[in-house]
Amino acid sequence: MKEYQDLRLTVASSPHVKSPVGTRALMLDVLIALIPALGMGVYFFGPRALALTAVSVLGCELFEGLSRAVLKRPQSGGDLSAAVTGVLLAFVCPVGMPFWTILIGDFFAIVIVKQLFGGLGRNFLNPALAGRAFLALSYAASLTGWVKPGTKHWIEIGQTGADVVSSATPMADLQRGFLPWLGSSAATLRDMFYGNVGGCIGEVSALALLLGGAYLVFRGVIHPRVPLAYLGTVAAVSYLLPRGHEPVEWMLCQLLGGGLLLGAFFMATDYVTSPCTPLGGWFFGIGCGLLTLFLRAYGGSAEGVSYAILLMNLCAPVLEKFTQPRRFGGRTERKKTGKEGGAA
Amino acid sequence: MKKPNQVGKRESKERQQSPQRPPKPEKRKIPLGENSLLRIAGLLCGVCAVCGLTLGLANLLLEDRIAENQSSGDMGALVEALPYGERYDKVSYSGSDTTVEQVYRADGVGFAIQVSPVGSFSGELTLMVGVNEDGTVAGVAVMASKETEGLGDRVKEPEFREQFAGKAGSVKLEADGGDISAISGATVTSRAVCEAVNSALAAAAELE
Amino acid sequence: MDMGKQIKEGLLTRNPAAVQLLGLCAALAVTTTLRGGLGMGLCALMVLTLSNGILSLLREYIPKQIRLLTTVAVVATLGAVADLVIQAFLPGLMEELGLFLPLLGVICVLLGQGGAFAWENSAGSSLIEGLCQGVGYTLVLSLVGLFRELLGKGSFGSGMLNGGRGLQVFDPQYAAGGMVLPVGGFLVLAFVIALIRVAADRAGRPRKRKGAAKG
Repeated sequence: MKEYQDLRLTVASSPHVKSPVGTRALMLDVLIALIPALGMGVYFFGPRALALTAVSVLGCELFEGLSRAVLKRPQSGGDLSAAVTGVLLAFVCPVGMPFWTILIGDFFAIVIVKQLFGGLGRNFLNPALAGRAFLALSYAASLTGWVKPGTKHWIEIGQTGADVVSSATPMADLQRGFLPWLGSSAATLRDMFYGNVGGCIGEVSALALLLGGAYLVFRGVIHPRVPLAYLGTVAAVSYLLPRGHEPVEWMLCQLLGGGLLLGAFFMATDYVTSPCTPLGGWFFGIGCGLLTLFLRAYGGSAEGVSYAILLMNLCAPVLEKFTQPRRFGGRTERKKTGKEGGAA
Repeated sequence: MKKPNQVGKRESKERQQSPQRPPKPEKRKIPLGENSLLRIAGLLCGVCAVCGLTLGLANLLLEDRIAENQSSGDMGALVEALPYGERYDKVSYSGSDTTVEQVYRADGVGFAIQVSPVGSFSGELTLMVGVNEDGTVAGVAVMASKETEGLGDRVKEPEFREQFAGKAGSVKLEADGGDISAISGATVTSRAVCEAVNSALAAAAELE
Repeated sequence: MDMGKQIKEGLLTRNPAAVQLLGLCAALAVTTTLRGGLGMGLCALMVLTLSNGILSLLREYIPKQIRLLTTVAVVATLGAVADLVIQAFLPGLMEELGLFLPLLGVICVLLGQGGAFAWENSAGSSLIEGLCQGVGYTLVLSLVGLFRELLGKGSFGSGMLNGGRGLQVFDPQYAAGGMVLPVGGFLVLAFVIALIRVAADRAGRPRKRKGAAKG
């Protein structure tokens, strides 16, 4: 936006209505929505959660500034999109992740996935999730130190996950086929709702995430379409295929466990990497839901949300292409040249 | 040196059609001039023959050395798994365990058994387990592994493999009630190594 | 034959892997270490040079119709012979290259562009062309291998230096394992291609704008 302000004449197509909401305002809203989850993360895992998040945010903003300077482009750190990426990346890591590791994840997310492809608006994958995927491939051990929640188990800021005895998480139990309260994590549905479980910093508290998601919908930052489609699909399929358990219990476990709520409200709704057409958004959400359950059941890891969303990110352009809304008053051309009639 | 290859054929056709005679059924001529089909085919055969001969020669000269190299690769693993053996002779295995790939015997020392356990993370893990005459484990060597680097691949570390030395009967992870401590975060691979060691111990017992 | 020009072209402006984008399959697969990249590159260099020379000598005797077939036969044979030689004398390298050692012949057919240069030029020129293109290919593969190994395992020259262990530049627990996986391969290859093209630009010649990706 700022680049255009330097021109004397601005040429643009209609409609010529300028919204007061810029990128920065949107990102601020997202950050506000993430505060409850951060609070719960600190409450259950200790001040290191806050430290890790802060380091991640600073790292992201730093890398964004540096890479824009090296690539000789105008600075964009002010729009806070890097800050949001930093927070989200920290939220999908365990509290014991070493600081240098998350900085490498920040580098990959901001410099490689975002800036090298053209900056905000041109990234082809969700940067935070891509960063996490890179960390999973490169520093797999750092993503496994699950700490028990609760003030007695807070790890020191100086320690890392390697220093503590890791404990089971509800997702690990689910992967082995046990309901969490019967498995090694001994987590009840109430625990999973409030966040009193092992897991990544930002994903444990369903309550906090729901509050945050509601705030975003209320402020109009996101449309409930994608989260509804995503969560609805997960709920429906897990209810219909409970894999030997009581359907409602299994369904609730799937909904409340792992990074599903974080992904559904904050990652799958990213404007850049999800389809902008309404129908495309529905398919996107449904696809995410199906892939999440599939990967959770048959994938090597206990969680499927990050790869599900990344895979759907790759499909987003195709989904957009085939779900263009019908042009008002015009006829949709089919079969002729393969071009869909619709908004350019 | 090169002529356009169609000239010969066209000329002969024209020559045949110019005299004023009722057309005779054309006798099929096999042209033998330059750029004829025969010449081309012959050259190609020649090239291929030379190529084939070269390959055959190279193979002949080198095959002994290649065979020697293959057997010494296994040698490293054998010595690591079952030290102090003077010779390692291949022995046939007639048991029912399909994960046992090869059994070697070192007289007076014991057996060395090459196992690929089913339960590995990647599906491609091959171990050489040395079993002493008294049925205890002599050593475990990793021959090939496609396990996750930093996690399952760490079963190559000496500290993990040393745990198996001296064990008999069957081994299990601590998580499964035994006394082998798994690599943190790599339970699947650690369990597969136990499976392999158990297979080897069983096979050795059968062969005694 | 302008040797200086051919060297510059082979290394930079017409680099087979970075500019013409040939033989990238091997550039991704065997470059998990410096030794793999260097080894593959050197093998390709030898086969390419020899085959260029042989094909060039044959150009008076082989008619146009069977030139491509002859190219394939000759290059494949040389590739197979090289495979046998490596198996016999460098079994460690053979293990490292794995499946791609038998594919040497295929790669060299691509790198030599089906013998396009050799069939039209003198033996001397062709030998030098093969050499230069081979060096350029080896350069790319070695760079990719070097960085992937350094960033992915923290080592330098594993398999070659220090009795096979290589120099451990930093503790492997700090190394990004993803770099020795295909992800890292694509990333590092992209950077190396960019690097070489920048160098090619600076060398002054207009470089090819589009390279069809092969191999």
